[in-house]
Amino acid sequence: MDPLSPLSSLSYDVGDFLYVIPIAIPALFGMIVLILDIYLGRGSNKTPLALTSGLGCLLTAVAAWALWAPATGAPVMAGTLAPSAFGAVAALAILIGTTLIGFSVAHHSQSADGVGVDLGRSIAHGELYGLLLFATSGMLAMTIANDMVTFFVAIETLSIAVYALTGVERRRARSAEGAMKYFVLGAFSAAFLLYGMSLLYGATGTMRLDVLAETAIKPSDLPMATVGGTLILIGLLFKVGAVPFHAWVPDAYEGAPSAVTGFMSIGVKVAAFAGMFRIVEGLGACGALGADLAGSPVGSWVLWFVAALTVIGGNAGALTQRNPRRLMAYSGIAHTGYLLVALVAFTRQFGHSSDALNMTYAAHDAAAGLLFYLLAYALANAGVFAVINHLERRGEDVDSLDDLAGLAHTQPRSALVMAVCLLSLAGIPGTAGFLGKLWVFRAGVASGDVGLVVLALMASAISLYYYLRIVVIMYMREPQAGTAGASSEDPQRWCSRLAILVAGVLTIWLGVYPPNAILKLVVDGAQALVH
Amino acid sequence: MTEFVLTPGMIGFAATILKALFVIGMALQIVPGCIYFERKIAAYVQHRIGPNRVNFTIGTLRYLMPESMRDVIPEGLARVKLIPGSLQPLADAIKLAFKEEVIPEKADKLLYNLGPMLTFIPVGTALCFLPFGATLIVPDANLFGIEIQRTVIEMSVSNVVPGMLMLLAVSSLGVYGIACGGWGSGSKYPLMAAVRAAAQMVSYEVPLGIAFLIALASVGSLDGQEIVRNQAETWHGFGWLVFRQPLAALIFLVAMFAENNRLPFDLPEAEPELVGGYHTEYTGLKFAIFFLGEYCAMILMCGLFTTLFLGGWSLGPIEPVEVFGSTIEPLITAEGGILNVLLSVAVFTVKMLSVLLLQLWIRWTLPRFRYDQLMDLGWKVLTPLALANLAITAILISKFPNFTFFA
Amino acid sequence: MLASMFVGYVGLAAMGAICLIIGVVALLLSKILGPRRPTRVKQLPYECGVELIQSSARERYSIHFYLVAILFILFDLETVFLFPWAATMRYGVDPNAAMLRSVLLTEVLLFVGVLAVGLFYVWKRRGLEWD
Repeated sequence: MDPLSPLSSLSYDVGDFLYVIPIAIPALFGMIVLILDIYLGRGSNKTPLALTSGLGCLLTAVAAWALWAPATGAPVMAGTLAPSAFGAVAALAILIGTTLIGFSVAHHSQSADGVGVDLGRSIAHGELYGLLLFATSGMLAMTIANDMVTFFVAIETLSIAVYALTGVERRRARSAEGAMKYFVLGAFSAAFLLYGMSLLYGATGTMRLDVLAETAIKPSDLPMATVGGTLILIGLLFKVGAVPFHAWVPDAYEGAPSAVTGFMSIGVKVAAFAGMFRIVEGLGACGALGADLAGSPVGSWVLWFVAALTVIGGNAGALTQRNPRRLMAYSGIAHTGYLLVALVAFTRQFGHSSDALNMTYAAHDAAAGLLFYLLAYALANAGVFAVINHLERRGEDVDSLDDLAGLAHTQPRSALVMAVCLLSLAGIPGTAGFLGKLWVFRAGVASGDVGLVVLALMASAISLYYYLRIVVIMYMREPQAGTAGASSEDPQRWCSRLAILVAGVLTIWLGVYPPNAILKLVVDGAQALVH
Repeated sequence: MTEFVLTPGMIGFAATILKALFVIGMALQIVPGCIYFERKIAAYVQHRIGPNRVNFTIGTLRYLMPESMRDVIPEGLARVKLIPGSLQPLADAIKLAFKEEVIPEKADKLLYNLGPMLTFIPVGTALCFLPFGATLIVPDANLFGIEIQRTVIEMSVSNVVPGMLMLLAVSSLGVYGIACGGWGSGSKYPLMAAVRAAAQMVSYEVPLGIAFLIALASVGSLDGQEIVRNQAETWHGFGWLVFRQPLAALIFLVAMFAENNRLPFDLPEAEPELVGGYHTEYTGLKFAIFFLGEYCAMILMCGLFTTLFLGGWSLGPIEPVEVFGSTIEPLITAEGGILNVLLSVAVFTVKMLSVLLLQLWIRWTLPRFRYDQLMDLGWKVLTPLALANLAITAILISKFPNFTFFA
Repeated sequence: MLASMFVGYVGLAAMGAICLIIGVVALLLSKILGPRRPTRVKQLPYECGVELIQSSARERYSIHFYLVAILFILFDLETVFLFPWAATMRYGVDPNAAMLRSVLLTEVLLFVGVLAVGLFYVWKRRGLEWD
C-alpha cells in the first residue's frame, strides 16, 4: 500500500467491529422505531413501538453479554473502545432501565377508555422511544469508551437525547422549564468536562485512558493534570447529581414526564458512574488525583467530602418532599452518595499507604459492589417509575403522595411491587438493594473509611422514613376519589403490568438468591478494572 | 559585481499579486459584459432591440488619431456603431455613483453598510481558488544581468491543497451579506427577501455540496489543479466529469442556479412580490456592489462548474496518447511555457463564458418557481438523488477502482 | 515546513484585500459624489408609498425558516464530514488496500444511510412542507 496514503496510519482489525455491535443495535432500532411510528400514525396504540424497542434492548443485552463479557478490557478499534465485563454489567443495568420504562409507557397516549386524546398531555411516542434508544446507544458507548474524545461524543449523544426527552411534553410549562434548566446546566458541565480533557491532554499528551494510566507525568505538568482531572470529575459529578452540583436534579425530575424521569434516574446515573470509574482509574494511575495525604491521594479526600455531603443532602432533602418525582430525585441524590462511597474506596488504591494489597482488594470490592448496586438500583427505580407510569393516565398525574393513598386496595399487585422496590432502595434485607449496599459498604470498611460508612448507614436509616411513608400511604389509607390510587387495574395495559412484574420479581430474585452468572459477571467486571 | 538573483519565492510572490490583480480584473471586466449580454438576450428573446444608444462609433476612433488624419474617416462611416449599447453598463455605473445615498431611518447603520460588502468580498475572494490555467514553468534564465531561478507557478491565485473545500467555505459566507442587508434595512420587503434568500441558499447548498463531493470523490483530491489534470488524463482527454458523472453535473447545475438566486429560482428578487428584493432600500454604489457581488457569484459558480465538470482549462489530452497506433501530441500540456498557459487560460475563459451564457439564456426561457416548489425540488428531489449518486459512486470506487463511469 | 503550508494562502489574503479595497472605495465614492438632500418621506422604509402599518419590520416570521436552517446545519455538517473520505478514497489502488477500502465503504454507506433515514423521517413528518 502507498506509504503516503493517509489510510496507512490507521490500522484496525475488522474483527474489532464486533465490539461496536452492542452500541449500534440501539441506534439502529431507534431509527426503526422512528420510521415505524410514522406508519402507525398519531394517537394510535404505541404497543408495537414498545415491543420493537424491547426487542432491540434484548438483542443488545445478548450482544453485550456475548461480546463484551469475555473481553479483557484491552483497547480495540484503534484504541477508542475497551470492552470488558465491566461494560457488560453496566450495559445490562442501562438496558433494564430502557426496556422497563419503555414498556411501562406503552399505553400512555390513550386515556383509560381509549378515546379522547388530550393534546396538552400527549407524549410524542415515536420520538420518545427513538430518543430513549439513541440515549441508550450513547450510554453503552460511555461504559466502554477508552478514548476521551469517544467518551465525550458518547456523553453528548446521551445528553442531547435526554434534554429533548425532558421537554418531550412540549405543551406543558413544567416540562419545558425542566428541559431548559437541564440543558443550560448540562451544557455548562459539558464545558467543564471538555476543558478538563484538554488540560489533561496538554499535560499527558494522550487522550487514551489506558495510555494515560501508564503515563508518568512530569512534576512540572502535574498541576495542569490535576486541574484537568478535577474539571472532568466536576463535569461527571454534575451528571450523577452529587451534592454541590445537584441543583438541577429536582427541577428536571419534576418537570420531565415520569417515564423520562425514570429513564434519567437509571440510565444517566449508571453510564456516568461507569464512565467515572474508568476515568478515575486512569487519573489515579497517572497521579493526576494529587499528592498523597495520609496514605491516599488528595482527590480521594475531596471525593470523601462530596460523598458525605451527597449522602446527607440527598436524604435530608427527601424527607420533606410531597411530590413522588421530587422525592425520587432526592432519593437518587442519596444513592449517588452511597455509590460515591464505592468511588472513594476505589481511589484509595492510588495512594502509597502501607497496606497496598489490602487497598487493591478494597478497590476490587468497590468496583464489584458498584456494578451490583447499579443493577439493584436500576431494577428498583424502574419498578417505582413503572408503577407511577402505570397509574398516570390522561389528566391523572401522580403529583402528590396522597394520590397513591389506598393503592393496595385497588391495585394490590402494583402496590406490592412498589413496596418491594422502595424497600430495595432503602436496603432492607431480602431485596437486591440490601446486597448492593452491603457490598459497597464492605468495600468502604476495607479501605478504612469507617467514618464515611457509618455516616452512610445512619443516612440510610433516615431514608427508611420517607420510603416507608409511601408504603404506609399505599397500605393504610383509604383511596380518595378521583386520584390515581382510586382507579382499578386496567387489564388492557399488559405491557406496563409486565414491566412492573419483571421489576418486582428480579428485585427479589437478585436479593434472595443472586444467580451465579450475574455474580461472576460482576466479579469479572471488577477484575477488568482493577488488576 | 553582485548579480541580482530572483529566487522562486520572490517570483512566486510577485506572480501571486499579479494573478490576484488579473483574476479580479477579469471578473470586473466580465461583470459589465454579462450585464450587457443579459439585457441584449432579454431583448432578443422578447423581440426587442435592447440597449443600443451608449456605445463607441467608428467616429470615436478619430480621437485616437493624429489631428491631420481625422478626415480619413468619412462622416457616414463615423456614425456606424461598434457593438451598439456596449457602454450602457459603464454609463449605469457612473450614474449610480452620482446618485444620492438614502439610508432609511429604521436601518441598522452598521449592518446596512456591511450588507453589500459581505456579499461581494467572500465571493470575490473565493475566486482565488479557481485554477484558471495550466502550470507555468519559468525556466532558469539570465535577463539583463538578473538571474532568474526556475519557478513553478500554479495558475490559481491561492494554490492550497484543500482548495476546493476552501472555495466552498469562503463563498458560502456570501449568505451573511444578504441576511445583513435585509435585516439592516429595517424594512419589510428586504427582510422577507433576505429570509427567503437565506433559506433558499442554505437549502440548495446541501445538494450542491453533495454533488461537489461526488466530483471530488471521483477524482480523489481536493486540489483544483489535480481535478483538472485527472479529467484530462482519463478517456484520452475527455474524461470530463460531466460525462463521467452526468447526474451529479445536472444536480450541481440546478443547485448553482438556486445558489445564485437566478431565474427560475430568483424568489428573493421576485419583483412582483417583493419590489426589489433584499436590496430594495439600497441606492447608489452600495446597490452597485450588491449587483457586483451577485454577478461575481455567477462567475465563480460557472468557473467552478467548468473546473469540476468541464475539464477546466484542458482541451483534449494533456500528454501524448496512442490512438490506433499513432501518437497524438497534446494541444495543451499540464506544465509549460507562457504560450501554453495563455492557451489554457483562453480555453478556460471560453468554457466559463459558455456556462455563463447558458445561465443568461435560461433566465429568459423558464418561468419562476413557486416557493414550495423550490423547496420541494431542493429537499425532495435533488438531495435524495445526490445521496443515491453518492452511494453508487462510493460502491463503484471501492469495488472497481479502475472503473471511471459514475465513479 | 509549517511556513510552506501557508504560502498558498498569501493569494487568499491578497484577493481579500483587493476586494475589501474595492468595496470600501465604492462606499466612500458614493458618499463623496452623491448629493445629500434628505427629507422625512425619503428616509421612510419603502412600502409602496403607503403610511407605515407597523413601526418595525422586525416581526416574527414563519418557524419554517428556522427549521430549514437547522436541517441545513445537520446535512451540511454531514457533507463536510464526508470531504476527508472523498479525498482519500482513491488512494491505494494496491490490492492490499482492498480490505481497508471495504471498511471505508461500509462506513460511508452507513453514514449516508443514516443521513437518508433522517431525510426520510423529516419528509414523512411533514418537516419539508410549505403550507
